Amino acid sequence: MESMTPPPVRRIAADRRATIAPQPLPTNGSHAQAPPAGPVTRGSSRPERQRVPAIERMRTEQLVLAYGGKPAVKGVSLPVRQGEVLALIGPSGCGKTTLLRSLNRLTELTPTATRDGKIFLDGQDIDELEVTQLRRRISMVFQQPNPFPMSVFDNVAYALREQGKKRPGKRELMPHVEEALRRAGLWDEVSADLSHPALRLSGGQQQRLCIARALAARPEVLLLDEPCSALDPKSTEIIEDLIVRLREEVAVVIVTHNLQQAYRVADHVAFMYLGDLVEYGPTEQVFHAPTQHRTREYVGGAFG
Amino acid sequence: MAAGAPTATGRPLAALARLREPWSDRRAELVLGAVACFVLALIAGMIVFVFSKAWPSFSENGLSWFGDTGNVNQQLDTIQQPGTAEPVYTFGAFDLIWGTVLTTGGAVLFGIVFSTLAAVFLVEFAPESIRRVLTPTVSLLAAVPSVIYGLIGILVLAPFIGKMISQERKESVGGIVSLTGENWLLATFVLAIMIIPIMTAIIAQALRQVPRGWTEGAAALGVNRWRVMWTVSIRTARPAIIAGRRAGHRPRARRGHHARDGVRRLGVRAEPGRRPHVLPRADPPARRDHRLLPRGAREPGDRGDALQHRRRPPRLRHGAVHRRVRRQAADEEVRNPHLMATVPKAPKRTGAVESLSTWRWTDRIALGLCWACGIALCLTAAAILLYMAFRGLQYLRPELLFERPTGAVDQTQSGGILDPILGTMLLTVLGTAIAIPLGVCVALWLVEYGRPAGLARAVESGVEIVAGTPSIVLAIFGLIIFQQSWLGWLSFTAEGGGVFGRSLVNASIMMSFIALPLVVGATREGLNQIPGHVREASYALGKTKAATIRRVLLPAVRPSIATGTALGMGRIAGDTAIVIILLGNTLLIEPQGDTPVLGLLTGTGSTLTSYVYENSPAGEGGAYEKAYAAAFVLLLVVLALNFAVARIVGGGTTSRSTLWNR
Repeated sequence: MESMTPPPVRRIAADRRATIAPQPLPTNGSHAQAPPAGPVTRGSSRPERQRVPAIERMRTEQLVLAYGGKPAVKGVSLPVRQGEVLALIGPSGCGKTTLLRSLNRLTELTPTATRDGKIFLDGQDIDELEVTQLRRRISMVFQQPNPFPMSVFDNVAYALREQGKKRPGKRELMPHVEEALRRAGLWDEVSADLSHPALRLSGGQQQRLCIARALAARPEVLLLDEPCSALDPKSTEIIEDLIVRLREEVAVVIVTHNLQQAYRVADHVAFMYLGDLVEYGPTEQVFHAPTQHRTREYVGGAFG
Repeated sequence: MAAGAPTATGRPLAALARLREPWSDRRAELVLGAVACFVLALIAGMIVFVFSKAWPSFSENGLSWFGDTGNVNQQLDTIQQPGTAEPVYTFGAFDLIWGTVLTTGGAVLFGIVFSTLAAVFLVEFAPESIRRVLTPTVSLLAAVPSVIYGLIGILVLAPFIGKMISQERKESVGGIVSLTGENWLLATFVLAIMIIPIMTAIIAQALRQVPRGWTEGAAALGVNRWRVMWTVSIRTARPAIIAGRRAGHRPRARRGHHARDGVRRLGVRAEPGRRPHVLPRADPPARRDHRLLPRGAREPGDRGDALQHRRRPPRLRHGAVHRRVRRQAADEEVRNPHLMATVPKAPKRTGAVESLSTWRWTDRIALGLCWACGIALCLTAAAILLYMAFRGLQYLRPELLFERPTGAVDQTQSGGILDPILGTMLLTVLGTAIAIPLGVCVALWLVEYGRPAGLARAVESGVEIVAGTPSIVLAIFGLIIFQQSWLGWLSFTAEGGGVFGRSLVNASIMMSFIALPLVVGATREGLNQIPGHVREASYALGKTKAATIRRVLLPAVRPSIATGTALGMGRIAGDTAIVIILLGNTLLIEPQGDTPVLGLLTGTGSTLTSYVYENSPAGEGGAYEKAYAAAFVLLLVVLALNFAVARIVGGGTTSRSTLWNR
């Protein structure tokens, strides 16, 4: 479910609306020549970072998702690459989260949800994979931090304990738990007391714990559904750094309402609107030279 | 409204508000607190009183009270032989305590395992078709009065077990104990069958309330459904399972409802002209999109403006009308041939088929047990309900409902069941009439005031103690108290000054204690579900706390109060012990004296439950046909009440007043 928080850019670009709204109806293709809306003026910085070789891990083909016959995602084809962060952006209710949840078949938990089209993981149709096996390879972090009502240790060890055919002991688990917590940047804060109840951590720590929990099982693809929407800027920064670091080992897909966040962390951006994939491309291109009229309006802050 | 208006009109308006609201905050708090204290005092008084009455027995017998009973026959002999100087009684409750522990312990142990598995089945693994039937059936069975289970036990199961015990075995131990089949195993079994639906309903409710974030979070980590259930859901629901407390239903928290709409829906109306800016957004996003989207934009992947708009119905989220509009739009969208051509047709459902091959062996066994329990519950429920319906229809004739019963031994001569029906109705109505105002006031005080905290805790635990007290103990409480001479006017006083203590009003008062915790619980649950911002919105409009309670909170919790009341009515209608002990259990309604209403109230009578009990082999007679007929009527009454609850609860989730934005 999307949050009701408007993307902050909307407010900043509010004065632009008057110039965009009465624009003459452009004919097909004419908008391509229109000057790009400049996100550079927004003062959000995009740190230079080294490129990592990108390998395609997942692919959706003509993916259609519907709730009770009402389509939420309409024929979307997208690649998901390891070594890159893919950001899904778009206004509320455009199908971003639905698309994300379908990638590890979580939509099937909703009784009315239906799906058509194909999703591939490493060239294999995910319908042919056993669903729990699939979800072990494609893990997910949710919008609201949802640590289980257990200790920090038990939370991180949860997937390792419950996935296998037999239950590993605490000693066996310890190195894995520590590694996951380190990767999520939480180790220094919680290492003193791993038996601390997870629900007593702060919101940012809880979300990082959820990321550590997802990482502990060594997934190949990590899905993030607006992971920072409930967090303060400091925690957001830590998690964004984490996401950028993680993309080398796992394919990362992030749904976000925060355009600046998408600009900061993503290598590729997919803009969705009303269930359609409007534009997909490298971040710089989508934000600075969008080919589609609606993308330009959206990233320019005209609507959301 | 002018900007400077508040300073100019503030005082007169405040005075006006006071005029219209006779309840000042202070007074409301005092009155509600007084009611809560009154209830607490009643409960505490009862406990102290009964302990003081029970003390002689304890002090007389000392620790041997918990000991053995001794040789009963010998004691009876000494009592009956007049020559003996002083009869010696030894009383020991060991056998009684042991019997309680044995039956309860056995039933609970069996019941908790069975009903946990059945609840897991019901919530997670049952196919949709089974779930749709089983869920209401379980809640119906949970409300079936215990006397009906007892009737089935004694008339059906006991002879059945009795037949399984061979004649030689019966004869061989005949001198010591008669093996009729009425044994503790049967009692345990019937008790287990009786508590399983209740526990299943409670556990299923608790499991459903486990936050989705947790179950989805676990599922997203690649953990199979059983392990998600076992490690997250049951773990989270464990307090509720152990406490066995019925957590009231919680309507789904819906997105997109705003506090201001809550206030609007509740009818907190500010005066015209003073309306603050709390109206829903006048400019729905759809219209804005309309303006912003260039007409006929023909981008690749764009499907034209007309469809564009249709596919994006107005995003107003409030109210049935808008929902209907949205649904219509969705229908049109599906029917639109143009759209069908472009958007792939309604896709198929992909099943979350899990292969059990990755499951641990223990999980597979547990899943099998889960299915077994679920199926067994289905079969038991069907057997009980169909058997009662069959027997009821077999023996119930319409004239039975309008004839007064007579005391004949012959079943054909013993008349109808008019008086018991009337008794049930009178008792239920009177009991709830006492319980509702008290319960609502207590709940309001607890949630909205609750100060001092110590007193609130005391009231809370007092109500919980009553909720956990078996009705037969309440009945004995009542009998001891109402036999005090200063309460003689409630029943009747015999020649020598002995107070009878049994009357309709006395029974109603004790019955109200059965309904009270349910009313308090449901109302509290309802009040707790109203988010704080709704109260704040009312205060922000200048309303007092008392006015908020009266105009905002009470209308909003009406469905909750109704739910509690209906549950309470079901409990009262199904109770046997209080009727037999406090209503006098006379076959006919016998008013006391000639005063019309007062006589009826202080008179005695019977209800359907006591009628069933008396006509079963456990009571006086073998008029089992009448017992079945009465039990069937009782079942119908409970069914009707259950249906009412379902309507209130089900309607509550769609009616306007219980949808809150969190």
